[in-house]
Amino acid sequence: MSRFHLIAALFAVALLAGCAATLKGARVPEGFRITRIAGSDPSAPFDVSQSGALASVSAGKIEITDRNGNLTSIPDTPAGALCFSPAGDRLAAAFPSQGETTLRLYDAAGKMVAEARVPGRVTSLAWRSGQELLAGALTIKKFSFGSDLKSWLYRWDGTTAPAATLLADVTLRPKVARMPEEMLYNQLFIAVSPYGDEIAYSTLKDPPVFSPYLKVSIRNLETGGESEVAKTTMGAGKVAYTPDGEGLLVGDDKGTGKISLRELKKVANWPSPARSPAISPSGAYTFLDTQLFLGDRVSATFPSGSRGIFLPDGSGLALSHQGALYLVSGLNDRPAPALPSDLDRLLKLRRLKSQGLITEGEYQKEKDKGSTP
Amino acid sequence: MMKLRLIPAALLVALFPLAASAAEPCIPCHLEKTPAAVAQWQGSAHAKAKIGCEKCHGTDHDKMVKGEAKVGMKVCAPCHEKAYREHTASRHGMGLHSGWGCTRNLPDRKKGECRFCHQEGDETPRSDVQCARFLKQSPEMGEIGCNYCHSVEDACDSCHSKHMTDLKIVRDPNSCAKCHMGPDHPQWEMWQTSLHGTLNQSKGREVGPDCQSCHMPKGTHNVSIGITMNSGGVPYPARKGEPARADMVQICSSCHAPSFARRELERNDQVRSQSLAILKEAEQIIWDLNDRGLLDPMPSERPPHPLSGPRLVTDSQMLYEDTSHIERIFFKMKKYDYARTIKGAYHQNPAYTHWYGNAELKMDLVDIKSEASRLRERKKGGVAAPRSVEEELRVLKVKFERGALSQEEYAREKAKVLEKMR
Repeated sequence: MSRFHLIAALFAVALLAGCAATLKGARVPEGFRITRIAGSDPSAPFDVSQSGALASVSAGKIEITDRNGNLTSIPDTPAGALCFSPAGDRLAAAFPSQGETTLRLYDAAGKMVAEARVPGRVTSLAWRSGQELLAGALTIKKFSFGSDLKSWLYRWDGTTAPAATLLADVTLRPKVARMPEEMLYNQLFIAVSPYGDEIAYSTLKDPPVFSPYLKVSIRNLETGGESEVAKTTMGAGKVAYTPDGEGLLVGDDKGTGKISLRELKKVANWPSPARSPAISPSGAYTFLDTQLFLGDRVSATFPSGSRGIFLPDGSGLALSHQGALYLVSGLNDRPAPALPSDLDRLLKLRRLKSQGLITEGEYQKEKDKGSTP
Repeated sequence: MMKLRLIPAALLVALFPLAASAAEPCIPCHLEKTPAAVAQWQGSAHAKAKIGCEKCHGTDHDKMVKGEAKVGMKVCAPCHEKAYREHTASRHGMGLHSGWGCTRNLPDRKKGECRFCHQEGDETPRSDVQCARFLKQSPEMGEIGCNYCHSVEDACDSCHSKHMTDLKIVRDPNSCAKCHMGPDHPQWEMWQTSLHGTLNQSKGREVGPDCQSCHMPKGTHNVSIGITMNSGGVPYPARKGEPARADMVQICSSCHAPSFARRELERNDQVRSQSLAILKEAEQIIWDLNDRGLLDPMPSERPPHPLSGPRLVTDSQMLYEDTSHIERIFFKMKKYDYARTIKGAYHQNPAYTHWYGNAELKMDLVDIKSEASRLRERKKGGVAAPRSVEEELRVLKVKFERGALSQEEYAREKAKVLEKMR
C-alpha cells in the first residue's frame, strides 16, 4: 500500500468514525495534522497494521477499524497486548487471567482463527514473521524468603502448542516482590530486529545490596546466544530497534539513549525520558513519550501520558491519549531501508557472532564485504 | 585353663625381664591375644632399648581397639629424626599422599576413612591434593587398592613392618615390590630381569645393585635422589633435573665410569623424549575429537569426573572408567606403556623398554588413530560431507579456549574459514 493510500485510508477512518477533535496540549509544526480516529482505553494496548487498520481496546473490547472505517468489535476480556502480523492479515491478542494467559489470533474480520494458553502473564507480543508469534511472559512464585520471578519466551506458529524458553530466573527480595503489579509486570517487552533473527528484551534484576533494575539483552532466536547490552530503570523496559538493526533505543528516568550493538555503548542521547520509545521506519523520527524528535531536534510535543506508534510507511504517528487514538500526519519520513540482497549470508554472520564464534570486528569486516542493499 | 595359658607368658616375662618391664602392663594379655606381635616386638631393637607399647601406642586402650591409635610417622619422628627428615623430603613423603582424596561427599563412605587424612579433631588434611581414581573407588577398594601403598607418606611400617626392626626386611627388594610392581610401574620386575638383578641374584648386592643401592644410597630415606622426572614421566625443568642427574651419576659411579653412566642416562633421556612425543601425538588426537564433539560418550554424557566435572581429563587425574573407548586406550598407553618404556630404559631392561613398553606404545597410537578415524567416519554417516563454517569455527573456538591456538593463530584460522562463506 502506498503512503498516500495509507494516509487517505486513515483519514477516511477518521471521517467515517465521525472523529475530528484535536489533541489538547499538543504543539505541532506547520503541516502536521492531528485527528481523532478511534477510542483507546488508557494504558490499553493498540497497534497499526501495514495496511492501515487500527486495533485498540475501547471500553474493554478490542476494536479493529479497517481502512474503510468499518469497525469490528471483539467481545472479549480486555487484552493485555495486541500486535498485527507483518502483512496485517492477523491480529494477535493476549488475555492474562489468573496465572495464565490466553493467546488468540484473529483474522482481519475479527474472527478468531487460533487459540492457545500459556502459563504466566504475557506482557508483550511481537511477530517474528507471518508464521511465528513471540510472546514474553512472567511467572512469579512466592516464598517466605522472597519470590521467584521467571521470564519466558513463547514461540507460537498458531497451530501447534507454543514452545517455551526460559529467558531469566531471578529471586526477588520480599520488598521488591511487594511492588505494585503495574511496576513489577512492566518489563519483558520484546522487540524483534529488522532481520527477524534476534530479539531485544528487558528483565528485572534484584541484586542483594543494590536497587532493582532492568537488564536489556539481545538474544539470537536460532542459536540462543545472548548478550547484555544495557541497564535501565524499572518501568522503562520498552526498547526499539533502529532500522538498520545495529542499535537500540533504551529510555530511563532521565532521557533516552541509542545503544550501539557494535560497540555496546550509548552513541546518541535525547533529553526526553521514554517509557515507550518508538522510532520511525527510516529512523529519522523518534517518539519519546511526550516529544517527537526529528534527528536531535524537537519537532512536536504532546501531552503527558501519550503513547505512540509510527505508521509502517512513516507518514504518521498513531497516538493514544486519555481514551482516544489520534493520527498525527504530515511527517516526512522515508520508508524503512530494504533488507540486503545477501540476507542469508548476513544472517549466517549474525548467527556466528551471537555464539561468540566471530568477534564484532570480524562480523563488521565480513559484512562490509557483502553486497549492499 | 587360664592358668595353663599364663605359664608360657610368665616364662617369657622371666626370659626377657628388661623388655617385660618396658611393656607393662600390656604383655600378659597380649601374650594371649596377639602373641606374634609380642614376640616380634620382643626380638626388636625397640625392646632392647626399652621402648614399650605405650611409647608408640599411647595409653587409651579404647582408641586402640577402635583402630584410632594408628602409629603414624610423627610417633617415630622424635627418635628417628634424620630418617623422618629424609623421608619427608622424598617422593615417598610428599607425593604419594596425593593418591588419596576427600571422600566426604561420597554416598557410601565409611566414617573411619577420615583418618586416612585427618588427625582426630583436626579439620585440616595432611594434604589437599586429591586423586580422581581414588574417589571413584568403593571404600573397600580404596583401602586395599590405594591406601595400602599410598599410606607410605605417614607410615614407617609400610616398609619396616609393624613390630620388627630387623633391617634385613627393608633391605630386601621384595619390600619395595609390594607397590613397585604391576602393569603401571613394574620396577621390581624390570630390575629382577635386568643385568643388575641377575647379578644380584647370583653374586649378591655387592656386585648386583638392588633398589636400595641406587635409590637409598648410604641408607638415606630420601628415595627420590637422582630422579629427573615426576611420577607421570614428565621431565623436570633443568634447574631441578640437572642437580638430580649429577646425584645419579655419582651413585652409578660407585661401580661405573662417570662418563659411561652419563652416556647411558642421556640415551635413556632420548628414549623418554621420543616416547613422550608419541604420547602427546595420541593425546592431541583425543582432544581434537573432543573439540569436535566426537568422543563416544562425550564427557558431558557420562558421570562427571570427580574433580573436574563433565570435562575431558587426560592429565595425571585421568580415569580408566566412565570414559570413551579411545580414552581407555590412551590410559593404557600413558599409565602402562609409556611408564614401562621409560622406567625400563632407566632400569637397564631391554625387554621392558622395547616390547612391553615402546612397541605397545606405538601400537596404541595405531589403535588410537584407527578409532579416531572410525569416530570421524561415523559422524559423517559414511558420507564425506564437508563440515559447515559454523562447525569449523566452533572447533577453532574450543581449541583456542584450551590454549591449543594462540590469539594470532585463532584469528588467522577463522579468517580462512570465513573466506569460504564468500
